[in-house]
Amino acid sequence: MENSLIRADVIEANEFQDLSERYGVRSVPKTVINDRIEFVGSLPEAKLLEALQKAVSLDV
Amino acid sequence: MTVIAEKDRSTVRDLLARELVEDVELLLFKHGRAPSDVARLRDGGTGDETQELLEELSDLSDRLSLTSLDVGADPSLATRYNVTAVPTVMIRRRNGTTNLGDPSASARGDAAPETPAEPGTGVRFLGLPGGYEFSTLLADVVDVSKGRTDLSPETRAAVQAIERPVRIQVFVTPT
Repeated sequence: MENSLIRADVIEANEFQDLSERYGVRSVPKTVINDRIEFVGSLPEAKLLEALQKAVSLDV
Repeated sequence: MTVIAEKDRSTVRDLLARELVEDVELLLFKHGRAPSDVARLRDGGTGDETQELLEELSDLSDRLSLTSLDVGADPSLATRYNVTAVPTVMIRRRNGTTNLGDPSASARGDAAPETPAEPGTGVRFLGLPGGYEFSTLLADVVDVSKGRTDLSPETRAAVQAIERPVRIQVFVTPT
């Protein structure tokens, strides 16, 4: 919402099992950023920001 | 059938009355035909339930409206909004310029290209936003209506400084 370049999809893992399998979802919530960074569970705001910045920096 | 329980209904009505500032439009993308007609779309199979849930939700506040779009009847909608699965729910501020009520507009080529900068369209729900995800949906509706998130000023500045596309996928289950 703060940046139009950022899109977030909340995906119901049971309904879209092919996606869940592709991203190896075994427990939820699982987050994948730019197909590069992933983590399970929720992160504190600062850590989430770090993950976003890392994903962007890898994306060259 | 009622999807939102009566006791939750009044809680949600109060929350929306208290928190909503600007009018918000829920966009539901679904399709009425068999999935094979729109082979590129994944179908979670909960389009009708999602429709019912969002109808009940939007009935709880005058500031909340629902627009349902049949991507089976007009596949160009899927392209225009980059929708790859149904049901997909988007949230955005309601404004007078949208031509979504006229699906034939895009076929005539006079539809304005969708601007991702439109507040709220960055967040989407793929599949039924039920159970715990219903709370997430409500929180996002409130944020879009207020035009701001609860991020700290430092985080907000850092997020706004990101200059490359970021795609976040969060896998969830309703429980």
